[in-house]
Amino acid sequence: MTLLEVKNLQKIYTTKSGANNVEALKDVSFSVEEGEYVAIMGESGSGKTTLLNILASLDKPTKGEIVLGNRKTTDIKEKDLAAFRRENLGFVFQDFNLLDTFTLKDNIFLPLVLSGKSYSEMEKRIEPLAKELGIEDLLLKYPYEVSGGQKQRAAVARALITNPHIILADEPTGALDSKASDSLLNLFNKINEEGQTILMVTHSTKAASHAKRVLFIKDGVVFHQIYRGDRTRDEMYQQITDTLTTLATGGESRE
Amino acid sequence: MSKIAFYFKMAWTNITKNAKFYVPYILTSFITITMFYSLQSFCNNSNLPRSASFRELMGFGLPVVYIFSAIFLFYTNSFLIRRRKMEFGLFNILGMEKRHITVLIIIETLIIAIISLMLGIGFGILINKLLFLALNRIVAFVTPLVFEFSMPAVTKTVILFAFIYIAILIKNIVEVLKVKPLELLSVQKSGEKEPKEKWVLTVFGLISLIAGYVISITCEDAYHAITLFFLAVVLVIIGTYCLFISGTIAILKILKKNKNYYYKSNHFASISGMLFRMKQNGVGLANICILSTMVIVMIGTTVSLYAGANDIIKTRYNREVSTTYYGVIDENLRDKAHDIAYDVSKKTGIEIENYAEYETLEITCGRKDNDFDAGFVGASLTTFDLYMPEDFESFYELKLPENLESGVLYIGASTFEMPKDITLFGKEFKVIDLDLSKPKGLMSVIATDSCAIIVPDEETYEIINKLQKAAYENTDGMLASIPDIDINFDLKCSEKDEHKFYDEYKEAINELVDGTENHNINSDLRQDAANDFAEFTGSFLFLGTFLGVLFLMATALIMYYKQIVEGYDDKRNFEIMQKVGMDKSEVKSTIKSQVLTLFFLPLLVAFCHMGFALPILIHLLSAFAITNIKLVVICCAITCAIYAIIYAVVYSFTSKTYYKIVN
Ligand SMILES: Nc1ncnc2c1ncn2[C@@H]1O[C@H](COP(=O)(O)OP(=O)(O)OP(=O)(O)O)[C@@H](O)[C@H]1O
Ligand SMILES: [Mg+2]
Repeated sequence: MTLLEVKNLQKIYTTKSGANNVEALKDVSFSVEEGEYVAIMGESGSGKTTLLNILASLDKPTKGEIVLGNRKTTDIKEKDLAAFRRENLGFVFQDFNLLDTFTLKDNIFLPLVLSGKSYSEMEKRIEPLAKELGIEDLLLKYPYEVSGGQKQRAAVARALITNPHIILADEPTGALDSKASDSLLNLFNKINEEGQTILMVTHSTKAASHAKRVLFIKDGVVFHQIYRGDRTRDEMYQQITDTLTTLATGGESRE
Repeated sequence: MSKIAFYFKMAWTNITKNAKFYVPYILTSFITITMFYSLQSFCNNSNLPRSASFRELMGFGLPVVYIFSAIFLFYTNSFLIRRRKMEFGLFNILGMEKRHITVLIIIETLIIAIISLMLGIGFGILINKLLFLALNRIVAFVTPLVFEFSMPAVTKTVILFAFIYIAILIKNIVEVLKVKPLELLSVQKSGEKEPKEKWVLTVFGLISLIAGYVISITCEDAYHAITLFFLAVVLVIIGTYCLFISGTIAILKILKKNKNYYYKSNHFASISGMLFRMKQNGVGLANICILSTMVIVMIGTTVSLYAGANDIIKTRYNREVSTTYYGVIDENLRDKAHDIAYDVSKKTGIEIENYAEYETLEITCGRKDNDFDAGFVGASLTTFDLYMPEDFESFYELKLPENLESGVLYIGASTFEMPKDITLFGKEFKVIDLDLSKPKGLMSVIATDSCAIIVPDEETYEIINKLQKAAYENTDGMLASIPDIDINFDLKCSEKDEHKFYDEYKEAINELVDGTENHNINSDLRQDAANDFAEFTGSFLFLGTFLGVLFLMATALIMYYKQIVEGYDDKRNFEIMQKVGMDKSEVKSTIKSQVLTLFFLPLLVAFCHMGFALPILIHLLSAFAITNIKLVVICCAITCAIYAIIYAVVYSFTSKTYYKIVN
């Protein structure tokens, strides 16, 4: 079943003078099936973050529409957006975006508190999640007291605790060393195997090789995509590297 | 380009680039300097009024303003340097040596100091001119004040503020040089631990505050009010600081522990936000609270004093002319004094009314329990005024009970609790309180323990007189008291003509004591006293308003600083919350409840302090003969109301800056 459908998305950043308008996205269309794990790659400045922000309804597209489940997110009213985001989307950011004044536990609870869930319900939800992510012993610590990898796991827990339809991740391994990255990517694989849909923006070929499908964005359009199919992770890694080289040398698109 | 010019250019760029933080700092400097200069040049003004009280009061205000300026500049500077540390750390990493940084800081301070001093003194001169106009209006000076430019005031201001700037400069340099570049860079990022509740401090603060309140509530008379007021103020200040620093955290922690309360969308962010805020700003909030209380108390009492000035004069001088002959020179003094008054009356054609006279014996002795005697070294002093019944009746226009018992002392009025039986100079006396409502003009400006005693007859009077003479003759270095004579009367003429009579009268009575020793005369004309007093209360009001406005501005600036600093701290938090799914209106309401609580808490506490201070203030004012409690309460209430309005206006202005930063 198709979970997310993106149709002819365009985004133009306008400046006050209008002289320096930037067309970050030209015409982006793709769809994501339920339970899929999709990575989006592209050069710096190709519009990945822009795309993700629009998917996350943090920003509005200039043109085009997005359908999540069977709701057109581009039509949701401003005042309902926050609740929609809270209940349907989970976010993992490069710089974690944890609040310094909350313990990890309270950070994870934040979306549930905003939804008005009872405390006992929150406790019930966090227990298995913390165990799975291996942060049970860190819950009462503050963000500055734990490592980057641990912070990112807490951020993942915060994204998962609402049981979102889809996890949106913008360079989740960007601030992590390779060991912490591996651990996070394995975690993503694990939750994906349990049925969680994931859409991840990344620069890292290694991170992308974990996904089931990789989309390449260039000049504001989806330029190319590869499916993992039955390939091993190493073969996938090789394939992605080749594609990136072709892209960089200005090769033709091939599907 | 020379090196120094380069530094100046760089320092100037730094200042303009950080204008958001420097403008309020310069504003603070400039306002405090203006205040200080104006006050200083008032003191140096050669044609200030003849009454020394005004000059004294102003002189009292100066150190207060100076100390306050210093504290305040240090406080605002601390915000500034917290921000600037990062920048200097960056310079250091980019290869600037510490001595270069030092030079840079020195030049920056120099620029700030020069700008502030020029603005402050320039504006001070302008304000001074306006203040003279205002002062002439409020205080009815007999000769209007003339504005004059005072160079010594300028010099003194420059030197004294230079000290403050140098102290701040040293503090900044030490602080910047103390830290390593890496630390400098992470000043902002380093996490802060959640504050711990400090129960000892909380309990201590609570006890201190309650003790202060209890002193005020249980205060019974002017004497205790004067002696205990300072203690009560100190206790309340200590209590306020402790409770703002630790008490608020304790309360928030308790709320946080209640999971079902804490994990609600409208409490979650604000409780934890405030918890951290309190750690940084407990002192700032306590400052605001104390300053607000000072403003309200100061203006409230001075307004009461000013408004009650007429009452005071009427109570103190129950007739238009009051003359006291200290020490009875001869047997016929009463008659002589009477004749002088009526002779002048005949000569000037101005009629005398309500002529009244009395003789009084004032004895001062030490007290040990119920024992009053001459030689009690270090004992608390008590003053007795002895009156004969006829004198007391005619003078205060009242009727005493018939057949007073011989040998008994009757209380006409007392500022303290007199025992039922006393020993006076070794002889026992029975004491009966006549429960008279305090007669006008009696003991209105006496702060120490004193008691007006009506002696039933000539015989008892003589017994006591002999006793005191004997007692004091046996005590070294003491003189026995001699009776005084008071003569009061009204004049039947216009206020202007009163002087015609009074000038002649004064000359005539002075002739009476010329050439005698140890005898003198004190004589007052009510309208002259009223003018003097208006000058006194006027300068009080002026000083009160002046300091009040100063503290108010300080409060406003602290609020502004807090808003800016907190705005930058909160910006990121609210961005994250929005990303996680908090909608704009929720963010707004969270910010609102947090900011409202933080800003109006000090005001509420200040009002609470004021409420509890009222009893002691009322007694304190009674020492100035303000006995109209209703008037005091109304003056204080109006002051509170006006202050609340100003506070709200300042709040709405400064919070706009905050919202702008956060959004
Ligand atoms: N708020 C904005 N206003 C104007 N232009 C913007 C804005 N945000 C992004 N852009 C421009 O849009 C283009 C795409 O930016 P985007 O951040 O989406 O790139 P990206 O693919 O995420 O790059 P990176 O891999 O470096 O993060 C860039 O040219 C950028 O300069
Ligand atoms: Mg990006």
